[in-house]
Amino acid sequence: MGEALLKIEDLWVRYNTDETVVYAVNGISLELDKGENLGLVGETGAGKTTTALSILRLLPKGIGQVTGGSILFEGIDLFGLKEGDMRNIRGSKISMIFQDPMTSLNPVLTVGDQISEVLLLHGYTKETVQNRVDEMLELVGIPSKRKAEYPHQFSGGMKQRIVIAIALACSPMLLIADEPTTALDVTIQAQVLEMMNDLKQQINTSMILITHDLGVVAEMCDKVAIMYAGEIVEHGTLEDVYDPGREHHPYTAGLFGSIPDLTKEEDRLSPIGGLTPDPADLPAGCKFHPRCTRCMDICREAQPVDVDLAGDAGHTGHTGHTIKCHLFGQWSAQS
Amino acid sequence: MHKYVIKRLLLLIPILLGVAFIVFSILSLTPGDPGTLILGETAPREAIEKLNEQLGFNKPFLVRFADYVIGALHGDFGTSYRSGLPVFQEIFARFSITLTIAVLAILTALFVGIPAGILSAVKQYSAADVISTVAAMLMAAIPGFWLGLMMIILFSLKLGWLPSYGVGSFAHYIMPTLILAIPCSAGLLRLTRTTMLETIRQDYIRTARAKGASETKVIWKHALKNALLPVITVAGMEFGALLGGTVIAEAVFSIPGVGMMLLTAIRMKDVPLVMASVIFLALLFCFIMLLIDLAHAFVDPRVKAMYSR
Repeated sequence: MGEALLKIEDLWVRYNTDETVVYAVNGISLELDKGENLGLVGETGAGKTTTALSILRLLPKGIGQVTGGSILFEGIDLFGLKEGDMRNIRGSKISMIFQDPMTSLNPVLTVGDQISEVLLLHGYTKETVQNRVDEMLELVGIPSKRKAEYPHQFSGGMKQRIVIAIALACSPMLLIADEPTTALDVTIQAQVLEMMNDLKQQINTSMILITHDLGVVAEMCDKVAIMYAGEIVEHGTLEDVYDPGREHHPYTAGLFGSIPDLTKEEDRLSPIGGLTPDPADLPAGCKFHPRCTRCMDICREAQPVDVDLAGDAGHTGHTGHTIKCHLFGQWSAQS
Repeated sequence: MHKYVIKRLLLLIPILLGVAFIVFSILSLTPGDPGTLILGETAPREAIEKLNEQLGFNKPFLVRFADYVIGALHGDFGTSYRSGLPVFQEIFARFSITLTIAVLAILTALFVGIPAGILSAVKQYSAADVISTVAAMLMAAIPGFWLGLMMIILFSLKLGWLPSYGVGSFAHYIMPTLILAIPCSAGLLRLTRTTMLETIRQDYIRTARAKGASETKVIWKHALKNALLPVITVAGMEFGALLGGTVIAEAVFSIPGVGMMLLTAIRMKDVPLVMASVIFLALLFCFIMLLIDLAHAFVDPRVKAMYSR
């Protein structure tokens, strides 16, 4: 495999506000190879977007603060780069699709201008840029003659296509898609996902897909990381995490358990009890213990560590199936 | 867009008629008659009555108003009771001075207020932000007449750099412009800061950053246009208010501007002069408002789309 495209090591991020300190990301590690798709799944507030913004170094200034860890992109430490060098990476090598297409485009600039801006910033000249803008628009299924129009003249799905066109214009090596379909209705969701997948394959981009939709992940991703309260509680290949026959973190089990089974008659959904903890006041020990159905004494006191279940043969380290839970620490210690 | 402008221009007719009617009513309801005002209290009773008859003062109120409107439509706004000159001759002589001061003041306010507001928003909580905030509070709170008098003491009496009263050279305009521009720029600074802070937290600003745009480009290309919309409105209204005369500045620096003229005319019950001035200022204000709306359409395509419907 060689050098991983992206390597996040023990990343810690917090938000400092006047009243409290919010611990958004607490020591996560991830690896992504060229062409791979990683699904980052978790509830609202689990730290998914914070992780993504840390990669781009776009955490809100003066509030968001990386307190530990490193992010290597093509072997280069992103936190060590000068701001100018980081800008050269943003939009060209790493680009991001944001959650809400309604607000992600500047209302006072034409969509053509907004696409050409990223191209002009990264090497295109005034002469060649218009061709590329036309090409990108056609690629996402919007007639190129509409490039002189403003965002308010497009529907939500079309706006998201434009956002995607901007993100893919420079053929990035890494695409971070932050809930790209959450704001869209279901039929448009499918179209947009399919289009993203096609385009991604054409330019061989790796992708981090942030979502809380397990179905979307199954459709798009090779690897999955389940996030809870700023930690990755379970990480593995799609098969590792989705196979009900294998061992899972109680949170993962709860997530899958909350999906209604269409083949059985069920009166109620079975959600995970309780709420995500306040990231300004995280519980001691395992952060999931207050909601866990299999909570033990040790869970209230000691932080669990990643346990490698050696899921798929031949995989080691973070590419294997890891679970952050005392159940399995015990289990592996016994065996 | 043309349709919209024409519609707005047609709207001027009822607005101006309404303004004329209200001002005419108020002036008619207050005591005093033109004969006495023109000829003086000591003039013979018969002469006063005769002049009142001539000016149509004895006719019913609505007839007088109709006469005034018809006259105005023919371009005859009457002559000032006091000077006997056609009213617009008097207004324009004063207005050119007021216009000069208003333009200088609003330009100064814009050139100081907007950049300082942007700086203060972009560098929120920095020393520059704190200094400009405190300065703005101070500037907005200091009364214009006091500042004017202090400036006269310093620049005219102590240093002898600037003339303390009247109009003539450019130097005459500096102090009046400043005391009008200072509170105005303080307001624009605070407003620009607020709208800019709100704008730079928008998602599309994050999108621009994610494209790799530099901070300068993010601010000037993406944020500014969006942030300036409310600033345009307020600056336009401030300008309109400045055109309506700036009594305090005119009084402190003895400037023969529209404000003092109107104040005197009201006190003297110089009906033709008051009417013509108010109508003229109302017309100007309407035009400025129209220009603001057109500027909005120019900046924001969503507004433009709304107008061309």
